Formats: sequence, C-alpha cells, structure tokens
Amino acid sequence: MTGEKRTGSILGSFPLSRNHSLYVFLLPSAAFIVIFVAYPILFNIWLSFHDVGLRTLVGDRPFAGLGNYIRLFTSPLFGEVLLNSVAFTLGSIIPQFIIGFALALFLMKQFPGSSIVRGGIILGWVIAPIVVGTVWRWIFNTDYGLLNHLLRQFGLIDSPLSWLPNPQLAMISVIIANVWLGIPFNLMLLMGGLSALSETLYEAASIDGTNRLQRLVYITIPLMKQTIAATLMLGLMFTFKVFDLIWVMTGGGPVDKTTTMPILAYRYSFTFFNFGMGTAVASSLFVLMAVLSIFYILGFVGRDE
Amino acid sequence: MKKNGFVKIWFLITIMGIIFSGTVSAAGQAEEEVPVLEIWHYQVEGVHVIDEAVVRWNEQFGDEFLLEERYIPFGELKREISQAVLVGNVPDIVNIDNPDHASFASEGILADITDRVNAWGEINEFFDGPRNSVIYDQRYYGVPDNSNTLALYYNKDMFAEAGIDAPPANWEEMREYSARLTDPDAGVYGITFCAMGTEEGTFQLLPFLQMAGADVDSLDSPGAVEALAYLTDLVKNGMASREVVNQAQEDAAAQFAAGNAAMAIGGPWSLETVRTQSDFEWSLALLPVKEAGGLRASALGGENWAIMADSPHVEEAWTFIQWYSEADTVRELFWDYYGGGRIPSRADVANEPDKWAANPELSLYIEQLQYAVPRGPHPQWPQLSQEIQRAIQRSLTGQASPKEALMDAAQEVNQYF
Repeated sequence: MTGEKRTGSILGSFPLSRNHSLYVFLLPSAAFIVIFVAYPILFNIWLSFHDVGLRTLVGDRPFAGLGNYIRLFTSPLFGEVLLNSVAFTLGSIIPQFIIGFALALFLMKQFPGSSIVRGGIILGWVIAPIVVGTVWRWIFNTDYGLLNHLLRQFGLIDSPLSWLPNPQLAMISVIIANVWLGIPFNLMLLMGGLSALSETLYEAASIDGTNRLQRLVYITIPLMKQTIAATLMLGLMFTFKVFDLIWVMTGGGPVDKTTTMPILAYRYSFTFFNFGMGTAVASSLFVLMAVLSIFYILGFVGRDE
Repeated sequence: MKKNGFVKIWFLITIMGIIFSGTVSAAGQAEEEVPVLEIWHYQVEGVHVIDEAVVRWNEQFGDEFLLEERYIPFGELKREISQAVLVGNVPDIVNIDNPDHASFASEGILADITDRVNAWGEINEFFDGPRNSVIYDQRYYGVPDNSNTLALYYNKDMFAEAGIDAPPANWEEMREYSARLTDPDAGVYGITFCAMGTEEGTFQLLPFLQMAGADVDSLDSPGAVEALAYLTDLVKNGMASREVVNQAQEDAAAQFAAGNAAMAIGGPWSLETVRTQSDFEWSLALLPVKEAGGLRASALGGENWAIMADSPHVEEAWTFIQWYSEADTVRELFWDYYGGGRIPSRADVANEPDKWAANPELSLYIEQLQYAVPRGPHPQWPQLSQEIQRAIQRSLTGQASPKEALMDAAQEVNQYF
C-alpha cells in the first residue's frame, strides 16, 4: 500500500491508475495514425458510397449507396483487372522469393568480395520504380531493346519479339521488371532471418551426417517459417499496390492487359474524374489486403513455439 | 534572485522586440502588397510563350497584380487540379488541353466568363474549332490560346534514294512508299506514329477515320472500319513498328529524327526535335487523303485559358487573359518573341501572310489547320476517347479485327450521344 502511494505520488491526482496513465504517452503516435492513416482510409471508404465528381468533390456529395460497387463488380473490365492483379502479384512474389532466398543463402557465405555483392544487390532497391520502369521499357523495346538484341545474338529468336506491345507478353514483361525490383527486398529480409539462426545447429547436424539439402529442408526452412511468412506477406501487399512501374512501362496497356487495380483506380479518379468509382476500386483493394492481413496475423504472428 | 529577475525582464524585452519588429515589417509590406495570381500549365520551358508572357506582364503591369506560373507535367495536371479543388486551394488561371475543356466546364470548376467575353467583343476573331472548344452549354468558360494540328514529316534523303520525288498524296501512295522505304536490315520503318492508349493515340489516328467520312458518333460505319484496317495493315505488314501502341508522339518524332522511320505523323511541337536531332533533309506534307479529291482532316490540338471558379481573383485573371489575347500581344509573343512552333488561335493574326514567309513549315501547319476537326466538345470526351483508343489498340495488336473492335467501341460510345 505504501509502495503504491510512493510511486503514484506524481500521478496520484490523475483519475487514472498508473498503468492507464501511461497511455497518455501513446497520444502522439495515436494522433499520427488517426490523422494520416485512419482518416484517409475512412474518408476513402466514405467517398466510395457517394457520387463524387470534381464538382461534388467539395460540398454536396449525393449518396449513392452501393451503386459504385455494383457498377464496378458488374463491369466486364473488373474481372479482367482483378485477374491481372492476381497474376501480376503471384507472378512477381513467387520468383522474387525463390531467387531472393537462393541469393540470401549464397550471400550468407563469406567469400572475397561478398560484402560488395551484397551492397550492389541492395542498390536495386533504392532506385526509384519510375527509373526502373523507364530502363526496362528500353530493354524490352522491339526495335532497339537490349533483350531482343541479346536473344538474337544467342540465336534464340529469328525476328524481334515485341514485348510490351504484345498482349500476350506485356504482363510477363512487367512481371520480369518487378521481379528484378523486388529481389533485393526479399533478400534483405531473408538474410536478416538467416543471420539469426544458430551455427551450432548446423554443426550438430553435419556431425550427424546430413547433407546440404536435408539441412535446408529440415533446419533452415522450419526455423525461418516466421521470416518467410512475413516476407511473402509484405511482398504480397507491396506488389498488389504497385502503380508507378506499370504506369511508366505500359500505362496499363495494350488494351488493359496490364491494367491492375491501382491503375484502374487512378484512371477512374484522374482521367474520368469519377472519384466515387475510383475510391470504390481503392476500397475493394484495401478490404482484400485487410482480409489477407487478418489471415496472416491469425496464422503466424505470436505463434512462436 | 535579483539576477534571475533581470534575466527574465531581458528575455521579455527581447521577445517583445521580436514580435514588434515582426508586426512592423508585416505592416510595411501590406502597404505595397498586390495580389499574386497563380497559373498552372503543362508547357515545358522553351516550347511555349507562357513563361515569357508572365515575365512581360510582371514587368509592365506588376503594380496591378503579379503572376506566377507553375509547370505541371501533362499527365499530372488533371490530377493536380482535382486535388487543388478538394483542398480548396485552387490556382487562379489554368492552361488546359482543349478536348478537356468541356469536361472541366461540365464539372463546374471553371468560371463562367460569358459576359466578359461578350463585352470584349473579339472572340469571333478566333478559329471556329478552338472557339467551340471553350463553349459549354452555350456559355463561355475560357478563351483559346494556341492551336496545333498534325502533318506528315518525311525524310527527303530516303525518298530520293528510293526514287520517290514527292510526299504521298493519298493512302495508297502512303502504303506503297512505306513498303518501299521499309528496310528491316537497316532498322528502318516506312512510317511511324503514336497509337498509345492515351489521348495522344486518339489525337493521331482519329483523323484517319474522319478522312474516311466517319467520326466519333459513327465508329461502326464502313469508313471507320476501312481506316482502321488500313492502319492495322501498316503495322501487321511491318511497315510501322509494333511499338507504336506504346510510344508517345514525342517518341515517334525522335524515331523519325534518328532515321529509324522514313515518315512520321507529328505536330509543330516536334519541329524543334526534328530540326536539332536529324542529320538529313526533311520536309512536311499535308496528311494524305484517302483517295484523290477525298475529304481532308486532321486533329485540332491546342490549349485554352480558363479561370478557376473558386479563384478570388476572377477579375484580375480576366484582365490578364484579355491582354494576352489581344492581337498586338499575340503578334509580339508568338511571332516576334517565339517565332513559330505555336499557331495562335486568333485567325486574324494567324492569317497575316507576311508572318509566314520565313517559315514554310508553319505555313503548312496553318494550311492543315483549316481541315482540323475539334475533338468534341463533349463533357464525356475522356470516356469517348478511351473507347477509341481501345479499338485502335485491339485492332493494331491483333486482338480483334478492325470491324469487331469498332463495333464494340461504337456500342459503348453511342450511349453518350
């Protein structure tokens, strides 16, 4: 009792207990989240239930109910765009992860120049996607692109392939560029996880006569489960909302073959000034991501056995 | 204790001093403060007269009010304007692409300046197309600034080498010359243009549909199908690069200037690129007509001035726009200062023949301008345009036949008429 009184002397006059009063210190960060994260998201969702053009952006915004969503989900474009988004995301994160993981395992080894290689690979991560997109656009160019030049040099193709203008190849092309862009991110996270693993386990395992593959499958991967899940989850979210890379490379074309949900949201809002539809796309994207995050949190976070 | 008190008083005096000096200087400024009007536009420095107009205004009339111009890339301007409207902090004057004018006006964000325009009494001196583009619902929402249109650039050296002595006059010649000039081993295409899925694609290729007698409201007509089939064949047969669906107009001009294409469809803004980057003889021709004696058409491009409805300085903004649009100012800025590359939308000035003698390229654009067809004006122009782009791209990439692509587009477009 006396102890309680002593520690509570400063805060004793507050109507809160000591533990509760500590929440006061959360205020700045809570305020930040409310103003810069929660408010825009809620405003966005609110807008999506209204009929909003430029004229109605401020002032009177007529309520549209589910109108925007019904129009969106029933439009033939939406299904195609959703499929594009899924293809782009899975097509990107799976190779990103596999290559990133392989490189991480390789770069954990010390060899002459290993730190330079590590630094060099991470460089890719700090280049702005706009720049990456512009460079890849040049690489994929039909007439003077580097890729066609190389493929021809090696005799793999006779006539140049038109990568970005070709409806069948455009998506593959932007995925290749995005895989390149995302590898360093996967690499960094996975190397962080790998460096936390204890050497002694591997020593013990090699004394027991295991080979490299067995050590990878039975030691590394199980121990990395948390890191792998986090990497894939973050990759999933980042990739789903990629905008600038695709915008620079194809603008969503040809004929919407690379139009993903963020591109569609942009087009509704800023080409057609239909902010109601634009926010409906953005909100659907948000809900989808939120659901995936919930599965992730339920499935993995805090389940350290 | 006493020392402490001294420090406190000293501190107080200092604070007072700072506050006081602040108010004095603020009051001093307020006496000579004039409004500052903001202009938003997408003209890179050196390709337009806006920056010079602002400098001149501030020098001559800066005591009335000052102007500030802000460059925003073409693709960003609409987004920036909508964000400004949302935040409630709009620019005073905007310089916008003319097909967007009706869409902006229908959204109610532009000031209705009908009474001022009528009182000024000079709007009838402007070309019809540009003038129509600033009218929405029979009211004026702006004043045309400059106009441009498309013509055919051709590489005279390549033409001479192939034994062709004149630019193509009709589609058949254009196809034939393209075939003859295409040289895959040298990386040379017969022709290049822009078929991108943006307004630029519509701008470049809609004239072909119009030359065949079709238009936005008759995309399913046989003429439209024939025009698109013609363009599709150019790409399919390798006379134009497949990259046309992903290249902007400026890219097309650059390809031409680099000698990678013997002909290019382009506007007067590319003259500078072609002049400085090419190392061969070139010239300009009117867009070839479908067949001898056929309809002429070309796109009408250009920018308009408009005043934002929420600007607190509508009166001042109008004063500037009126000054800029007077015949004398137009002559000084477009001819004496800039010397070409932009055609004023004022027909009386543009048709002064002595101005053009020194510049054969621009005189060709002026000639072509007579046949320029405005896009819209229609408040849903961006949606209509997108359907046209889709049809062009579906056909050029082989996803649909020209007919199928246009039938689908017509079905979407016709709901707006």
